[in-house]
Amino acid sequence: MKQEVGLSLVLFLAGAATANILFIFLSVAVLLYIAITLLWRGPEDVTVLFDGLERSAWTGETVTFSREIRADGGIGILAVDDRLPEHFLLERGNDFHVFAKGRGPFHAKIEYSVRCTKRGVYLLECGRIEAVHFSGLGQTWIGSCEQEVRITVRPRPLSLRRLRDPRVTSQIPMPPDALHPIGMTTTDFKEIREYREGDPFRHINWKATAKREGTMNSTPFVNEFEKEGRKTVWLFLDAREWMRTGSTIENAFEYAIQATLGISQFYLSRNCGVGVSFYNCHDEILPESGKRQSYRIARHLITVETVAARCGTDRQVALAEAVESIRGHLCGISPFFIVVTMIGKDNASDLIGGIRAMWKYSPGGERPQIMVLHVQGYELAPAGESEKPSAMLVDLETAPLVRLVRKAGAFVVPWNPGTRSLMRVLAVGVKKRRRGR
Amino acid sequence: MESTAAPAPVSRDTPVEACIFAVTGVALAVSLALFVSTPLHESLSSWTDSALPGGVYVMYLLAIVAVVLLGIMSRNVLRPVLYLSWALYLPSILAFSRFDLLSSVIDGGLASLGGGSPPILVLAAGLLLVCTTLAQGAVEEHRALRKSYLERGAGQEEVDTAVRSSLKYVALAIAASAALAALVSVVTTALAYFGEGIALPGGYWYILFAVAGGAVIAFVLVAMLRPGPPERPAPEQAQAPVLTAVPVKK
Repeated sequence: MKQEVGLSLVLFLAGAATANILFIFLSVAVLLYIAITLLWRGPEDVTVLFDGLERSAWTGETVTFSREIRADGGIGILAVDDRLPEHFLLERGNDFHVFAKGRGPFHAKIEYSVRCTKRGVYLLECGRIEAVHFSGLGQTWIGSCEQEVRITVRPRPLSLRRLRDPRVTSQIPMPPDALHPIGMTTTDFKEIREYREGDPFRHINWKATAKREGTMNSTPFVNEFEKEGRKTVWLFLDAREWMRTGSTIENAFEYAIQATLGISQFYLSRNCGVGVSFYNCHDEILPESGKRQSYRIARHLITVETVAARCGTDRQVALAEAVESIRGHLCGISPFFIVVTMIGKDNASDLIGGIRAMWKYSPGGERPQIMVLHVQGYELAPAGESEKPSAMLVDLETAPLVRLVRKAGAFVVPWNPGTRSLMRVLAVGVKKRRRGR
Repeated sequence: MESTAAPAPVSRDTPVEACIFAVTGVALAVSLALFVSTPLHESLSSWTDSALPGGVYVMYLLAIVAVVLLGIMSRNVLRPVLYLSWALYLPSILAFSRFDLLSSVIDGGLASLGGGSPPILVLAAGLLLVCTTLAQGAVEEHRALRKSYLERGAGQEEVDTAVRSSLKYVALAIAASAALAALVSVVTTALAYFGEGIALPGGYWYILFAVAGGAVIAFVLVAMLRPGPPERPAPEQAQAPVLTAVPVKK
């Protein structure tokens, strides 16, 4: 606009200064151009039609978005920009389009596919539109819809149910027996014991009681059944910043989350109570069983971040402190402790301290069942083949630390997510351990 | 990780570039032709012929080459060529000035420098130069817009289509404004010719022109000040009826 008005003014002033009618005619030509172009407006009456305000996908899944754009008035250029959130990888089509809007009504359909590379809840701005006047003399109008498309990307659990090899099916450890004071009685037989006040009569084992006839003790025997949710698994997920080793999408923390989700679902499907502690940040889900707990854990894992992002580095909590904070939930039970972490020189002593705390709260000084899933994050870091040997060397340095953790009383399962599946690692790893015993 | 596609290589839209090159070339040729018919050219010619016969044309050629080189160096060839065209055109148009500052300095004043071409031809050449200037401005603006879109990840083909379509309307507007300006000049000249003899005393015909010019300026101001949509509204303000978002029912 400035350029055109300037040209017109210069010509007009030249005409006025020299009393030259030709200059005035040329100035009028420029003014007429401005007037004619401004008679037409830029694209207006724009409508965006989109599909669905709520979307849900698994990590790594491809999602297709489609938009319909309509514009009824004006002439110019329409630019439609969907502004994909971070961690969304464009696979097909384009999220930014430019269209010509002529004199007639305009209609276009945009479709593109994106791969959701990281778990989380994302907001997709729908159809941010720029309406540019064809001459550039009119104002460029920029607008967007009020509504946003909410996309929930859930972490894909590393399923442990699909274990088909009969030799290893039963090798994934279950929590040891432990008396749980509350919970529904199941039909799983546990033992025969003497009748105590309050036991239901229907639990009296008449056959066993009859065999007692003639002895001094005439107290009847009752059948004791397992209590639902009796077996408890405590998962400790290391949320330290260094768990981010690897790329922003593929790192030890992301795999640790998938493993936590997979393991929790495995035990929940077997009627165990599962609790999760995101240690280093005083954040925990208390043990419960059932589908609701499964949903609760999954929902929490969608948005969980490393410590620095949530609590700041000054509020980090060691594993021992995390165990200490849940000690009330450890009374009278022998849970199965699973620590999902990446062993390194920075956290080896912390791990050992945590394992000692687990021993401390084990009822009757029994040896607690502790498993450390060591996610080999260094193996995820190399950018190419040339960097792999150095990653292996760095990983080898952790071997003495792994031995120290084992010595403290935990069973360590090293897992390289890039090469081996979790179920295979767990099944084979635990099997070896049992053979070793 | 970047979510958008990698930016496409930025290249120029060839048909548009070819058109603007051609128009600028024609404008330069017309300006040069007008200049050659001026007394200034004759003076230059007689001055250079003493040293080298036809040397004035060599001088023009060198000037054009220099301007083109300057344009190449500044990565915009057309702009200096356009300035050269205006420079060559100026003596011709100044010859029609009624208020001559040079008359006291040079014998014959401005007319002795640029006279020699009929006014209709000078006006046509002037309109051509104005059109070229406007077209160059629009093309430069669209080129920047195109580059920005490509860098933001839009497809090259759809950007080119949009830019070409937009420039088509610009060309239409330029042609229409030139035609209207020519019509205004013809009408006012005719009114001046007939009005001088019929109603208005000599020299007052331009009052009519001033009224017409004032009307055009008022029209432009009204068009410019017409209330339009708000500039860059906040997302929460951008809603119906200007931009509506409707979920598709499946």
